[in-house]
Amino acid sequence: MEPILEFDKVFFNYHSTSGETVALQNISLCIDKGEFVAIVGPSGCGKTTILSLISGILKPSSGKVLLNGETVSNPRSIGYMFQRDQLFSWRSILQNVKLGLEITKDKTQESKDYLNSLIDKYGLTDFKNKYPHELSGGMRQRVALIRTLVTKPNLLLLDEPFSALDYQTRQSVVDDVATIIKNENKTSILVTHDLEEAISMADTVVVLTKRPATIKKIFKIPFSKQGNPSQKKKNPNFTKLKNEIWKELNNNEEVH
Amino acid sequence: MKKSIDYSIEHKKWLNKRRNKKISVTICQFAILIIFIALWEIAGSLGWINTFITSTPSRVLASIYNLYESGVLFYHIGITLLETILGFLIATILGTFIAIILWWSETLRKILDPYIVVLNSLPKIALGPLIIIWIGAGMQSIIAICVLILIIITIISMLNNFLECDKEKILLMRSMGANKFQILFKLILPSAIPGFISVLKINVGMSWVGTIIGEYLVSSAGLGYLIVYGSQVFKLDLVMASTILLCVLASIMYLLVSLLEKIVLKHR
Ligand SMILES: Nc1ncnc2c1ncn2[C@@H]1O[C@H](COP(=O)(O)OP(=O)(O)O)[C@@H](O)[C@H]1O
Ligand SMILES: [Mg+2]
Repeated sequence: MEPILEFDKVFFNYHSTSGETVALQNISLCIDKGEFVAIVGPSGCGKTTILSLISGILKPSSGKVLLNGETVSNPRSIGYMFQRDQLFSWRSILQNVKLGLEITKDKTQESKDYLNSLIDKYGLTDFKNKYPHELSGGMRQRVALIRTLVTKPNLLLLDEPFSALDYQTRQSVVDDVATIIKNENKTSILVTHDLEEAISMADTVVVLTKRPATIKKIFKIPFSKQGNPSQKKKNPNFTKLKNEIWKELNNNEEVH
Repeated sequence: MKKSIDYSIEHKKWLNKRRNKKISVTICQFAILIIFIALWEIAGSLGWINTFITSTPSRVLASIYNLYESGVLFYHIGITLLETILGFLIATILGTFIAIILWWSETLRKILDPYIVVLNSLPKIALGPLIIIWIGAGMQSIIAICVLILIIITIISMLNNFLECDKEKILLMRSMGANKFQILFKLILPSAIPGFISVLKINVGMSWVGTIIGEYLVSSAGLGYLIVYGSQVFKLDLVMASTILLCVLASIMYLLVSLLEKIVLKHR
């Protein structure tokens, strides 16, 4: 498979007047086209920093970040999903979803059809003319995902998109998002501190140490193609794998 | 057409209670005003207070009627209104425009920061006499004083408003390929509208302060002029009348802005 994203011995330091923070240390990683990668690590370890490097809003202190073999300079053609849906409250759902096409000034019939097909396929038809505050948190995250898909990004970056949802709706939104991403066959990177979420959604789980983040271990998920996240959670190997990764995450201390 | 919804008895009771409470609050509000006016009038006619310096409601009304009779009532109101509205509009529009420029250029923002802080802490009224000398006594000075009082705080509030915009939303726009113009017009400005309305509300009140102070300094016409003139010739009825007219006008302008707020913020 062709790699879409490559981290080659990447280091990153934050500079501020109070000093220097070493955030990433020697990260090397390769992500294939169509792969779903989850990055797990304790909060504050540098997960968001990794996504910022991918989108090009931060530059590595040393090492290389290559997207389709090229150094990235701006976040163009990347789909972002955040902890909060970041829908624009003054726009209707339809206007929110259309944002990407407005920005690219894309008025082609093909794009309009794609937008409408997404709206129909993922059940937004009845909500088109509603405003974000009239929707549930889970529904808003779905709209946020559809909004990023409209411009056909090569890569989706998901920065803890489920952590603001309450426990009851979370699992169904996880299933929802995983299914949509699978249908649309997008390369995706999910950042999370929730292990179950990572294992049940991804093909590959990358475990980071606490700050400064280094890659602790990379796990391939053998059952990643077997159903949606809730179904995968019932897989007999799920708990075993979870315990194994859990151990990796929690003996961080011994590393230092 | 009215929607017919079947509410439960409990909900109807709750709605009724709420409405009754609202009505009684409104009644009390009017009662206070009427009692105050009545007491003022009675105290004046029974000689409890010196009506030469306190006037009475009937004399205030008579004074307003006099102005009307002599044909100058709407002239003075018009002058003050014009100055206030022009001052308000110029300061709000220019201030917002400058705030946009400062949002655009971080370098310019950093360079100008100390100047803005100093100008903000300066009591702008102190510059009144200078302005009159520079641009001449007249309406232009009054508007200039009004603008000066409003503009710095408008720039500061609007700039903070713009800078408060969620960084993730900006990143989202950039990931869709947005340029700075698109970020400004599709994100920064729309998301600053609630803040803009609060600035409008503050400015509406402050623009009256600016205009009246301006009129105190360079009087030739207007309600501020009438107040100064009235106090100089000890026509306190005229002073009271002008003050009350000001109250009414300022309230109307504030109500208009509140109405705008209701319309604009419907979906927030
Ligand atoms: N702009 C910044 N300046 C200085 N330090 C920062 C900055 N942003 C993040 N950091 C620090 O870098 C570390 C990693 O941050 P981040 O990537 O956001 O962590 P995570 O997303 O894993 O919670 C944190 O300890 C944080 O305090
Ligand atoms: Mg983070």
